[in-house]
Amino acid sequence: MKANEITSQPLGAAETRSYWASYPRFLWQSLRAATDGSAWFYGWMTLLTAVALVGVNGWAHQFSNGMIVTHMTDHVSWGLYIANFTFGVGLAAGGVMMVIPAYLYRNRHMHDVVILGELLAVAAIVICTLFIVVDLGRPDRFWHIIPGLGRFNWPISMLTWDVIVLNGYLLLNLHICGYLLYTKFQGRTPNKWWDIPFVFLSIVWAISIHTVTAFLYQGLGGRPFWNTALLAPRFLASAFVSGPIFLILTMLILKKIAGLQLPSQAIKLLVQIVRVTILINLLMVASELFTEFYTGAAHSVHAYYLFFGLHGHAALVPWIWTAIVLNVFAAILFLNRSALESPVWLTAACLMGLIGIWIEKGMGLIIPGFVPSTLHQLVEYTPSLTEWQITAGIWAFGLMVYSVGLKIAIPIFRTASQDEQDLVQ
Amino acid sequence: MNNEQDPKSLEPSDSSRAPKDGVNLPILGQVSRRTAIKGAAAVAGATALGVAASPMLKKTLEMSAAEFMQRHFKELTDDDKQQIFERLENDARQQYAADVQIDDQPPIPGVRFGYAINLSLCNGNGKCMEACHLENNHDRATHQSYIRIFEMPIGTTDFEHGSTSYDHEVPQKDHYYLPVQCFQCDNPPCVSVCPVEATWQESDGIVVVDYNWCIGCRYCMAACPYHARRFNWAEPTISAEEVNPNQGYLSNRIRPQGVVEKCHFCLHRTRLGKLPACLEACPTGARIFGDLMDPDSNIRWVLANKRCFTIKEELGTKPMMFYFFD
Amino acid sequence: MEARLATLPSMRLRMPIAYLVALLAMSVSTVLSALIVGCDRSRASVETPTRGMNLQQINRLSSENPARAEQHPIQYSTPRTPRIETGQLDMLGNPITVSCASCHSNFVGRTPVASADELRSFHVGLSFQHGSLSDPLSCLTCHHAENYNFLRLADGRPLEFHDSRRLCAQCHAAKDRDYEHGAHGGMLGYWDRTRGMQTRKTCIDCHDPHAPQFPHMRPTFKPFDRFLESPPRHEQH
Repeated sequence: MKANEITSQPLGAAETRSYWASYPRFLWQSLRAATDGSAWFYGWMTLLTAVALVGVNGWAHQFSNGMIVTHMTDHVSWGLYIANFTFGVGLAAGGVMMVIPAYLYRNRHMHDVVILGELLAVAAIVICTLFIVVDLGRPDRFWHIIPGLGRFNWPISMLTWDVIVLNGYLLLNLHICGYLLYTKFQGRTPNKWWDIPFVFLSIVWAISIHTVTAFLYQGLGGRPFWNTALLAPRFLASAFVSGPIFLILTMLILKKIAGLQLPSQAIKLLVQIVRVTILINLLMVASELFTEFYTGAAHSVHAYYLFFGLHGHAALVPWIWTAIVLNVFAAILFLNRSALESPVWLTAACLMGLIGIWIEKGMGLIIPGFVPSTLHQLVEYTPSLTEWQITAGIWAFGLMVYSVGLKIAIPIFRTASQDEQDLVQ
Repeated sequence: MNNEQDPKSLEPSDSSRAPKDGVNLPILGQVSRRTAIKGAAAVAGATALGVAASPMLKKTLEMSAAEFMQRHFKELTDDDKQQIFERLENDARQQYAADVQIDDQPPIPGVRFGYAINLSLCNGNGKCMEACHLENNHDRATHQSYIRIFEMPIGTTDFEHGSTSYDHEVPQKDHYYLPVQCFQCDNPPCVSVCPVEATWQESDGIVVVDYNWCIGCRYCMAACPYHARRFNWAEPTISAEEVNPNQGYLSNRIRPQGVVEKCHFCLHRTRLGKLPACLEACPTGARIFGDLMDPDSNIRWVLANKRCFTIKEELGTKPMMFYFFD
Repeated sequence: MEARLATLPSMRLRMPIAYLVALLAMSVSTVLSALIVGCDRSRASVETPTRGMNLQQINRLSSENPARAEQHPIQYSTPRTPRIETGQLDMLGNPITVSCASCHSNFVGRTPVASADELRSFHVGLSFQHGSLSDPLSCLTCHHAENYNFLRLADGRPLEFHDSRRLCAQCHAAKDRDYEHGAHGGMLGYWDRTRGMQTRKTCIDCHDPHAPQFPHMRPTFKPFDRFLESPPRHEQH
């Protein structure tokens, strides 16, 4: 670095060449970009801050009074938090669906917007981590799970695997985002050795985060609803629906509100991906349901409870049918090319798909694993107000992270790609 | 990237740019007003954050540095343990106004505990649940206990048909009663999944929890096929005169909020050679406890002479609780 | 449009790469799982004496008796010879009780009754439900006709009341064997008799000898968990 500084100084471009000077300037610039904006931006961030603070307050109460403020019980010991965690991991993994075409297929249009996917991964992992933290009964003992400090039950506990893959994925994506932005900021072309290997690693890693998260549940022999080999593939399929859908929505919003010129081919390619993955996801759900209902064994009670209710208890029935209807409608819309020409229908299809997956991968997956309990006691679960508060707060914070990331990244990328276009011309 | 104008005027004192500041004064003024607003917003945000998070203060103040820094049980020296037990005894005095003695009984070498229940005798009266409740300083508000008894119709072992909420004279015609507690599995799924090794199996087979190490993630509750684990959703309540003062660190001491607990075969008694509280309380004499390694023990006689079975064996848990009918 | 068409063939060409990546991911996960299992075995952290054994294997464990320390005796509950309350108090206010023989020695020679129902003056209302209807027991099956302070074994020999378990064992041998091995009747104290004493009840502590069926009970204690529905005692489907 020092040598670099010295040699570059005579060139009179010390500030662009020297990392010592340019990196703080990059950070400062980013901070400025993150805090400067239109009234829309300020309004949006204020709203998110307010919701996040509501969440903080809810969590502070939970911290002091105990998890009693949730509606979880010894029977349904995981609830809305873990449901959202699971969905969040999918979202993080789904972000990679932008990276694969961009790097594996060298799709240039995707290259320009690939940063959206990587930022989504970062924000989603932040969300996941927060959902784990708020689910802990003793968040003050969080350090017990830090390798070296506490006692990390690796490699036996799947949760430790999850800690590794999630944090690894966060670091990978932080590095990729940070490196790309920094080089673009400097106006350099990224050194491929600092970029490509990490990108390819992140692709494999994205698959691993959702696989490991699925293993978390599917390895539990005492929970037949989860104890199926199809769980990990299902997780991946749904991740590759929710991730691209979220990115399409992001681009639509950026186009509409920020008036950005994003390559329309990017959206088209993502739509193509969702067209396939949403069907694969539905196929896997159908296969799972066939096994459950046709066999009709004792272990099917969970699916019966989920879809039809059991002994007059049917708290999840409206949830899951909403999810099924939304997913099927979204699939139909996605298959209908002409409908998707209209941004309104596209938005509607995306929202349906997103909410559908959110329910299916969240409440529809976690809660029936516990109802009825391992000893067939039927205790139902509906999230408490505090749980909703905290959940909303975490999503708001995650969206803040994502918005700030976009706010920093987009001007840099736009300028950079305009420069490139100028060069081409 | 046009990085000539915007960042310069904002950057902190850099001698090379000093003269420029004068030139850019109006802009600087503008910028600093903007910065001032941003600063004010940041201060307001931080204040709001403080206010929102203020309910945390109560619990945080209760927590001592020693408690926060405490190491895993297996890493503690005897001196550490003594200090910790004293601290916990103090806590019990302050929080519950109870004089208690906390101790740690190590496993007896060469002993492996087993438990069997005679389902022909058990009539579901629930005295074992109550004894467990009293012995183990369970939360009074929820009537917590490590034991649940299922009233099962004769002809099935499917829990789907069982009920724990029966409240009538027992035994009912055509029903049998199936008490369930921790099976102290030899291949315990709850231990494997714990991310911080807060729960482990000891040499006498008892699966214990270090209540001061558990982070409360409840993964073990999801992994246990027997619904043997309980979570402290709130600080347990118990009046001073009801506190059982003979307490074990890994067993019946009053649990903190936010941690998982489970049946420990009353190790503070059984490791002294005494019988578990649930066995002594059983008016029907349905419970048989003993050392699996002692060929003359009651439990070995039962395993050899009765048609014993256990539940959910197919999950590979290797349970050490057995049932039999006469 | 063009761009999309342009990407498609390239996608086809690059499909093998995608498969490779997926394969890599799969194999990574497989290796990880194998690792977990391997480590699980190697890290069996506590070596418990019966590690990994099932019921059959436990039963096959060596039956040789290790040298053991001296054991504390088992203290059995011993029933006293019953006395009859007269309903009167003595000068000190204690109830006056009389021995069975004080009446029954006068009744020698009268026909023994087959059941308590036939009694008109004494022991009225004694609920007697012991033995089958086809082969009812009479009082003198167990009580000694010549000396009411004794019980009577099946072969006619008298038996002290404190030894009553032997009387029960004549018919209920299997239960007596269970009791002998701690599988019936319960106990108090120590499972490890090298460390302390064990106290055992005897048959009639739990079973009324005249109506031995174990009494019905009503559960007095119910744990309830945090359920959404109130009242909290709802643990049923």
